[in-house]
Amino acid sequence: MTIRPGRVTPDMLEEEEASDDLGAAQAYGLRRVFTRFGHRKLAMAATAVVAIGIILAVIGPDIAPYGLEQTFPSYNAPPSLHHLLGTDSIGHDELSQLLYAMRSSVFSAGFAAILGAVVGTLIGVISGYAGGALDWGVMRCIDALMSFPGLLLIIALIGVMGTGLFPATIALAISFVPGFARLVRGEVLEARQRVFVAAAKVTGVPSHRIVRKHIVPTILPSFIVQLCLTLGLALIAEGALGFLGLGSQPPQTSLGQMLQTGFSVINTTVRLVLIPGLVITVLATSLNVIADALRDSLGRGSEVVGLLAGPKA
Amino acid sequence: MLHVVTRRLLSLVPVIFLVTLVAFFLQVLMGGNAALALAGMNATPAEIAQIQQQEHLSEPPYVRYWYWLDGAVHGHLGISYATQRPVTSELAHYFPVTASLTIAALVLIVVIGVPLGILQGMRAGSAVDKGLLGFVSVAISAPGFWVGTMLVFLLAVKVKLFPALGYVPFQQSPVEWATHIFLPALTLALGGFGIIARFLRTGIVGVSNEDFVRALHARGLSKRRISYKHVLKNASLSTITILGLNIGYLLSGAVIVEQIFTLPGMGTYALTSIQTRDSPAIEGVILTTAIVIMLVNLLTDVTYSYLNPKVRLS
Repeated sequence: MTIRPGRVTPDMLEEEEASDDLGAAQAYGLRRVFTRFGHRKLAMAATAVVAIGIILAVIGPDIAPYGLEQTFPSYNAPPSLHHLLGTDSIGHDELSQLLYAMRSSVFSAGFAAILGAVVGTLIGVISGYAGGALDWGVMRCIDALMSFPGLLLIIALIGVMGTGLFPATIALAISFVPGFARLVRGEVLEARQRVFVAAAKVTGVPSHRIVRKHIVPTILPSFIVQLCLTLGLALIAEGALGFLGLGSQPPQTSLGQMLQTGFSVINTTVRLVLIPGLVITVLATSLNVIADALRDSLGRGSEVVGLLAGPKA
Repeated sequence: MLHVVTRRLLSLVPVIFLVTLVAFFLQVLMGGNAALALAGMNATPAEIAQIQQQEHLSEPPYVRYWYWLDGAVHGHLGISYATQRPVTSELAHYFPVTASLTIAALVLIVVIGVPLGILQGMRAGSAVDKGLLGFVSVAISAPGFWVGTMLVFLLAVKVKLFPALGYVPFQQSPVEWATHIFLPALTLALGGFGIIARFLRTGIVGVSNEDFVRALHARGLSKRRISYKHVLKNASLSTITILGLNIGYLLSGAVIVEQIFTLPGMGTYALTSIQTRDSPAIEGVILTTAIVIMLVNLLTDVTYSYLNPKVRLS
């Protein structure tokens, strides 16, 4: 960004938005982040794992060897050429169930994390930027929501909305809102102190533009790290809800639901609990590794909030 | 010190008020015909009307909130729809199970997490540290309840080292209590010890690089003395906070652990209440756990300001 002294007007800032200078600076920053991230082998491996997980979730049902509700006379059968991962306690093909389950779980977790992040961020930005009584009121509400144990709040919300994959997803999203709101508010308060924000204010740039052009880019790194952590949490929480029978219901399936049906026959067929749990663990661990690497590459982010805000179990 | 406690207690008041508000209106949203549930299947319309009158059920929600709050302050949380017993006495039955599970898990978290963190922090960068770093990362990310089910399979089904199910009250037999609570507590602790280990390691590494530690080395104090008396003392500050913040997460985890090991705790109570749409019960569970969490957070804050005079004075 070139320095043009003496002529700081809102118009100039308008100009800059259109000019390539700012874009180039941002791209340089991003490229540096990508380079730093790319140097970490573990982080790249984790990214590959997550990418494979997402691809399988998207195309899974299309490549599944058997249908979702197709059953076979042999139940709890060990892996064979016909059933690569064997069959479950009802006689479903385990591999097909897994592929269908990954779609529900990955989509549900992704949707919950993103929805929670967007709503939480909006609340955090408004509360932090407005300050005063509004901020005080909003923060007390956030405090109250955060004093509930995450999972119990989700259970109560599911009690209101009924069981199912969609209500569970919405309840999860709601449980992620306070964590994001608090994190983003803190970052906004910090960003507000920065000189360039004060300068923009003095030159008469309207609030919504300051938020969009200055505050949002400043808080973006922490936001991305938190989103990554939350995605991992959401996957585990979805597993927990399915395990408790509060998530998706038969004939639909999800990783958590597979854990639940598998747990009833753990004495004889441990594989049915091992497989879905392993998928959740590998994906969640990869997301955490990515979040860690991103935090280091971006040089910012908050660890405490991510690990403790959600209903990890 | 007293000043800190009073200020923190006062700041809890609006939060507790909001907590009761949320808890109550979740019940209202949950709906269900409370009078019918309380009167039983064979009740006459007159009996239902009487109960409706008695429990103020025909009043608008905000009036009912007032009655409920009045009761809650006096220790009455309403009558459970499912069992027709006061929610308070039901809670008194379920709460000790969850409390003992959570406390046992906290002890295990400290017993496993603190040595791991110290070992890593003191030998930061070594092969041991790097190996444990991977282990701790997986421990933090893995769903504890899944690892727990695997533990049940290994230690209770395969080896039959521990009982897989049930709960024995501590007063009845401390030994039986310990054998029954060990696996559930370990399951719950598995998700939490990693965070403690990681924070302690980060804390130790951070403090070790500070100027005052270098000055101590220069003065010729023994490594041992510096490590334990100065580095560890300062590094434990943030770890205590994390331990306190962990409580909410442990109570969440307890819900699932209780299901795996069929323990009659608060989580089991909440889940059965959801199934029977027993809203006073759910409300009671939510209110109790929220208050426990707030009190533990208060205790953490007070401990922290006791250990760190800088916070106390500001």
